[in-house]
Amino acid sequence: MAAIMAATSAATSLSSNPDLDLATRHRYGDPKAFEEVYSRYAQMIFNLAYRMSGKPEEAEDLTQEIFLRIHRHLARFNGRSALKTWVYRVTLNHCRSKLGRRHYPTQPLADENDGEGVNLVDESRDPEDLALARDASRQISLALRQVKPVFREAVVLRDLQGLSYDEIAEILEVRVGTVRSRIARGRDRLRVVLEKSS
Amino acid sequence: MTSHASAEMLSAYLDQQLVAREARELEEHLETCSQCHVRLEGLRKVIDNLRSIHELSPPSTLQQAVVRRIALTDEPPGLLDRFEQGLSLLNRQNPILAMFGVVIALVLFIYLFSYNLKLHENQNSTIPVIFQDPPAAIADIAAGTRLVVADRSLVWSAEGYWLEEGIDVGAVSHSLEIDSSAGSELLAAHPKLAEVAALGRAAVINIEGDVIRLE
Repeated sequence: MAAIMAATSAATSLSSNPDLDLATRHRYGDPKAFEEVYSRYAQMIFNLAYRMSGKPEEAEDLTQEIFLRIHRHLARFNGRSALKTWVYRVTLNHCRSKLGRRHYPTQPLADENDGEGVNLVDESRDPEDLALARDASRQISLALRQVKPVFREAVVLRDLQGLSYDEIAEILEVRVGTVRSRIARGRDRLRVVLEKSS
Repeated sequence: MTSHASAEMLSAYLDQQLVAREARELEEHLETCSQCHVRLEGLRKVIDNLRSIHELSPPSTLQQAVVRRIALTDEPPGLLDRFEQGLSLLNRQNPILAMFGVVIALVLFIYLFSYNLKLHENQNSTIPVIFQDPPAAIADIAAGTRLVVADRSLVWSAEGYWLEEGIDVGAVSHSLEIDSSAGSELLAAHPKLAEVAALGRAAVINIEGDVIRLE
């Protein structure tokens, strides 16, 4: 243990990259490093998995699997991108491979209560606002399922995760122009779906 | 702008991704085109709705489940992984030392490889095959006499024992009945072996590893 701490200390003192330091600490077996990764990214991963799968219980399974992947591969993180970007990539790659096309319904699932048992809106708002927000939230969640995954990813990263075009381009490993196009197509599809449903 | 604005243009405008000239042209167009204006407002509503969605909190039991799952399924990194990780870490921190390490590892690898090759060559060239309790009758066999026993090529050495050529020691273990048809053929083909058999002690010749045992 002392050796681990000494090695970790030596490694971290030489690096000016906090993300890389975190990966180095994990590599040397420091359990606090993975705990820190979890606390930083659990909410982001869970929400992204939820938006890609459309089901909270599936999002929970996906999140567990994604953290398993992160735990296995974090030691190989090389610091060329931000750790956040790397985690986003791991998350999206896992969702794509795990969910596949069969999990992307093109029609709304009328018998499903979207986000059942999960708090989707800010409960501190006034009751009328809250009811409207719940309705809007439910509608948009259902509408998102009718957007092709490739466009949905871009919309979720932009409008739900609040990332910049440059960040999205880096995560998806495409040009900014492609990101712009995908976001626009995803949003326009949502617009059509929402207009039809209202 | 003469035609309608594309969804990409409108969406980028809402994200302030258009250059000043493009934005100005679009705004001029929007003043006169109600269709594009409606589409723009629809997109704005979509964005507002998306951004009003409250983020979910992961279940409180999730972290424990993750830790449990890691403990159950994750394997510790192997030796090669650790070497690779260590090298990668060293490379980032001290590239010269890392390069030196790689050179040392390479030299060591080449040395071990050539040593192994040499060992292998030795194994495949001449292996002593010793008769246990050799009968006196074969003691005066001329050095260099060749004999094939159960596909094993033997040479009688000047030192007074059989050497085997070109066969890996561990690969062969034969037992040959002298009075079988194969044994008779062998004796007919190799008079020196027949001399041994004639002693009446060589009813069976066992070849195990590097030993020919007369029984």
